[in-house]
Amino acid sequence: MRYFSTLLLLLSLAASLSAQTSFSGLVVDENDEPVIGANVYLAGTYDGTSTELDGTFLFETTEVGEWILTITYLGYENWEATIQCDQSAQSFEVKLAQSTNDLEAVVITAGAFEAGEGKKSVTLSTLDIVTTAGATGDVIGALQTLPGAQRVGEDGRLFVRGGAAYETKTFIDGAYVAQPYTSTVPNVPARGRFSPTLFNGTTFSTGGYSAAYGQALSSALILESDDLADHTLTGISLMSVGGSLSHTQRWENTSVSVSADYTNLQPYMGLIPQNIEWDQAPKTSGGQVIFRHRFEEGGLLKAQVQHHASSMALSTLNPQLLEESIYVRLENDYTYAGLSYQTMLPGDWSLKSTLAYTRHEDRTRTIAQINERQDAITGNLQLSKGIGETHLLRSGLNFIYEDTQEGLRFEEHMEEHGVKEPLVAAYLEDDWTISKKLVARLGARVEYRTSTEELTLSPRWSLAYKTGEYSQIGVAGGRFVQTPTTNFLFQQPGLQSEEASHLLANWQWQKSGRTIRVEAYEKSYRNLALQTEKELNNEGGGFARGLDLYYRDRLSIPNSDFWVSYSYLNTERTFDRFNTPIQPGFASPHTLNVVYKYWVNRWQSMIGLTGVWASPRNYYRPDNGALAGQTTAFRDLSFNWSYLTQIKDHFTVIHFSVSNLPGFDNHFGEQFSQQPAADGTYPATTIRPPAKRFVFLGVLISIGEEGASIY
Amino acid sequence: MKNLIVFFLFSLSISITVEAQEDRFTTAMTALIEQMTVEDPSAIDWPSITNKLERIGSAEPDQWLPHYYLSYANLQLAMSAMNQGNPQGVEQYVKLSEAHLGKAKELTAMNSELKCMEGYVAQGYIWIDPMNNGPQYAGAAHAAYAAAIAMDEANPRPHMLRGMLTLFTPEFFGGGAEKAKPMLDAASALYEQESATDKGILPAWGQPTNNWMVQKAARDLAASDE
Repeated sequence: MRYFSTLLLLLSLAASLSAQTSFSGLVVDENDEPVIGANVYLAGTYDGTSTELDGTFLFETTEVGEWILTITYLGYENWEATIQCDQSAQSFEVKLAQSTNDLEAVVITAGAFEAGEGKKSVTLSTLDIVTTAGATGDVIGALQTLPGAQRVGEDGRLFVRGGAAYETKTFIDGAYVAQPYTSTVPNVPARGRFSPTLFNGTTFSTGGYSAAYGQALSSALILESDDLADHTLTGISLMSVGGSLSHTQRWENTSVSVSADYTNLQPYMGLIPQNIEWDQAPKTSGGQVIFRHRFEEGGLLKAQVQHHASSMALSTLNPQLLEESIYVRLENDYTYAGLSYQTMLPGDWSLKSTLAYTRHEDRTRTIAQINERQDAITGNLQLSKGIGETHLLRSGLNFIYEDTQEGLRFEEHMEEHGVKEPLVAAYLEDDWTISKKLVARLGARVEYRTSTEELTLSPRWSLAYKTGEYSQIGVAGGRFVQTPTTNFLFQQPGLQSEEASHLLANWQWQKSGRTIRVEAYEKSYRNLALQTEKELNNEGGGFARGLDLYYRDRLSIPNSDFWVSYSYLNTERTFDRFNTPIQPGFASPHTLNVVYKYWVNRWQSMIGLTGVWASPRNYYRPDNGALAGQTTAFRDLSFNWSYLTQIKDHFTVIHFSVSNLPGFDNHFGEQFSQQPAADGTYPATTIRPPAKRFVFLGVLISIGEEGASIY
Repeated sequence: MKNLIVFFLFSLSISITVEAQEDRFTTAMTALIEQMTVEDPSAIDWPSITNKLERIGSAEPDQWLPHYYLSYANLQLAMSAMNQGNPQGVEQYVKLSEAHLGKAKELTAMNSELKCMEGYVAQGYIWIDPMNNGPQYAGAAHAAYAAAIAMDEANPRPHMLRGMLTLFTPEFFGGGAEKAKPMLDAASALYEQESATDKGILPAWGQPTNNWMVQKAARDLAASDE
């Protein structure tokens, strides 16, 4: 009998187990539209279902007790509720909230053009850079097609939003780079020193940048070096102007790259007519070693050393008289060594540190002999930590030590200058996600310049607000401080720092393949170095304001990618030897770039065209003592053809490019004699590009594992 | 004695439950694998399959196969997003696939199928942006397939996927039908052997796709001979 009762008990238990609880309901999104195919289930059980075409669901469970009802759908936040399975019929109406994943989250974009993997702002990849016609494989050349950059054809460096070239600074892995350009003589454009293939992230900021970057009044070019090389690979490049050989070896946790390059423009310049009378065309030789290692605990060590020697010699008119020609020879030796280490520390702190050394020596031989040598040691130490989901804290220390020595010898006369500029800085910054739609970056930077005992505080701030699924607005601003250039410091070592403040606002719309961006800015300058009749002081200043437009489209025309950028600039300043406010010689009020790339599958070729038009700039005329001259508008139409093929099973690219296809006659102003002729006028000669066109042919062969290439 | 009988009954019921649970897992997985391997691939309801796999994964936190198949199924969804010209969708599914593969790796020791899926995920990154991701991820995919082959020479999938990557890579990047053909043929032979064995709920997918690619490679070769 007692067995019987036990059996009864067991049976009733089994019955209760099979009694079911049912769940039904409706799942909608933020617009009350039904969500189709959402997963509705009791977490930890097999029981659940997918929502129907009308967003409804119904399922049953034999489970009992407390469970969590879960609803998941890609792109939406998970929904959860604790429920009791008590054989009842339960009904739910659920509204899912869109998740802020990295695809849709609001990001700080004011002022910055980011490039690289996984970045959501406006991007230029390594491939974009090498296939941009007119850029000739130079990062700087490609960035000049973006809004905010000015075209100063005789110089080649980056001029941003009414700022002089020295106001744009380059940073590699957070550390200031002392000499980012090749060495050159006046009116022969410089190029960037660093190859685009070395970096996996590039941020070109045209204003309002983070407190982590200092000593730049106008713009920061922020480069993040690559991690371990992907493949073992040998690269051979043969160019109409030289060649290079590189080898990269990849082990499990280590990669080493060694490369050597040589360029000599002599044979090329013998074929193509030049505006310059070269005695020795520019030639460069050098090499580079890059070592990268990932430690077992996750730390990453990178070391890079490059050395290049270059020289050129030419005959030019004697600037004193412009009558006879004089011989000028420039030799340069350049060494860069960078060491960086990054790792995670206990307590979720992330550490990034970089130490860089640059030595740059220019030897100019002309009527006089001028030697200029700069040694620079720069460093960056940054600690960052995410606090909860809402704060990302960054703090760091920077130091810059620049020692510049110049010696001038003219016949028996000797003159020597030297400037040592040590500087230390500390910064603190917080990226604060206030809501899903609003993010703020608030930071401050303190700098101490030892030579003048200046202590400066630079607040920086930036806000971004998401206005729609694909659009956002942003504002940014701050104070920016910079040591004057060494030319001024030679004359007056105690010259105070120069200063700018930025205010900018932007609107950006971005949807797969298309980007529109509008940014307005206002910049004011104070304490600029000014040469008056009596002295060199800090009484210069001025403003720059303008509007930048950018449109990029990879979708509308099949197999095409194009961008259009337009910059309007209104700027005046007192600076250098200009004591009344004037539009400086490096500013064009209007700049328009159109970059077009087309992939022709049948020809296995990428064809590119880049058109540039920049309105005339002012130049200095000694006869009336002001920037009264007007250059021609800068006009260029460059063509680029990259043909992709296989040579003996090795991936090969043949690049062909021509600049200034239509042969525009661009004038960059005039060079005047420093002494007036007998009749009181100043003899002058027109400054033109070194050659009307530049034609380039190169073959790039990648020898390595399947699927490997140097891009 | 009575107590002993009750105890016996009780322990029996527990062992039955455990067995039933394991059975439940195998039954559910078998049903899903059947749904994933129907004749007409366009008839497969991938979203419903991933939902079911997620539920099984939540109920069986120690099993790696639900996450392995979720990684696979999300790649199929990524591929259809690519065919619809939706690069953002491709990216979402590929990242989800990668996350499930990571989970599967936590639950079991590395094996040839997981290594092979690593390569497939890398191939998924190429679909997001072939121009920019191609060079980096093609190398990673090839390396993963080579490692998967080394771990299990009888596994046809790394051969099939290597063939897929090669067949759909332009010739000037080192791809094309001529180079893909031997890989696909090697996969065909291994699929023949595999279909003769009972893999249960272990990975056995890919033969129909391989057959289709063998035909496509033959057509491509015939076209280039003309």
